[in-house]
Amino acid sequence: MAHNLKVVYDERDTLEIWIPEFDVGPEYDREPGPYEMFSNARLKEADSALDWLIVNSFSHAYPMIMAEVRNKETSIPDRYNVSEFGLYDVPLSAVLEYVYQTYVLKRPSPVLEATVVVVQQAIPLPDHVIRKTNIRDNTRLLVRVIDENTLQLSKVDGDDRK
Amino acid sequence: MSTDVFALRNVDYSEKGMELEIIVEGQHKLQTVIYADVDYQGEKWYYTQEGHQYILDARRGRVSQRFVTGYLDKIPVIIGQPIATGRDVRHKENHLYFGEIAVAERGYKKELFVVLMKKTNINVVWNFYWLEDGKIPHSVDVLYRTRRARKYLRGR
Repeated sequence: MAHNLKVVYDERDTLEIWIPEFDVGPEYDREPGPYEMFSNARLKEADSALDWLIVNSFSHAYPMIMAEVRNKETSIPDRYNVSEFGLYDVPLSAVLEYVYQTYVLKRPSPVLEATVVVVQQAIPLPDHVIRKTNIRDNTRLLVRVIDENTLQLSKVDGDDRK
Repeated sequence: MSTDVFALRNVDYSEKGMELEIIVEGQHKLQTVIYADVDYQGEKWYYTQEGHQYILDARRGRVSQRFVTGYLDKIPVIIGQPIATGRDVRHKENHLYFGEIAVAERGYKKELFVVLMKKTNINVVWNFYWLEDGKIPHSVDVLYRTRRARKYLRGR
């Protein structure tokens, strides 16, 4: 199951990320999370790799922390959702990359436009997916490249083609 | 003792209201002084309206860190008598002063806090927060440490 994240990147170049459902106050004991190049913690006996992280000077720190996150991610199964970014079921590195691309470099993360017709011809969507999403042949989709193994599909706003 | 940053003992309010310009990443930013003080090495630093408001806003955003705003009076204590200091290896303008505070919300257990000081043309408090993991991160190039800091440097 992917954890929902709250992500704040501010004008002082500070990035703070946390899991709102574990933001329960200071009374509960924490322990260090898995990353060493930035501050991160988790509630003791929690099931997630981390509940909180903070990075100062994120724009400068990005290459160093990404190297550590990508290196350790292979052994950390945690996945995350950041609904305000349209990111779902992605690793932490994808969240960091999105913030860097969008807010530091101020360019949108790589988004390609495609039509679902190719996807549907190759892999027919199950009926329940079609019912839930209303995705049919020729529905226009945005294809967001999360990482080399993950694509995220979302409907183009205002596309009512059937 | 007052926890009001506008009425602390042993800090200098003589420059209160003065506008200073700090240059960060080549950008000039105005800062309005609340008080000035010196660090453990006698170096002058400022606590400003802008930094104060930023810390309040940033810490209030998260339930687990909200209590930090009740300890802003400890900032000059930490900077004057840190248990460790260091410089961010990724960004040398960032100097970090680490200190312990006995936190009422955690049964008066001593917890690790950090004051982030931006050192450019002037020295200004830039951020202040509770280190929930109780560790000084590896990205800090430690410049000064006391025996008390040992447990926060484990694994280094």
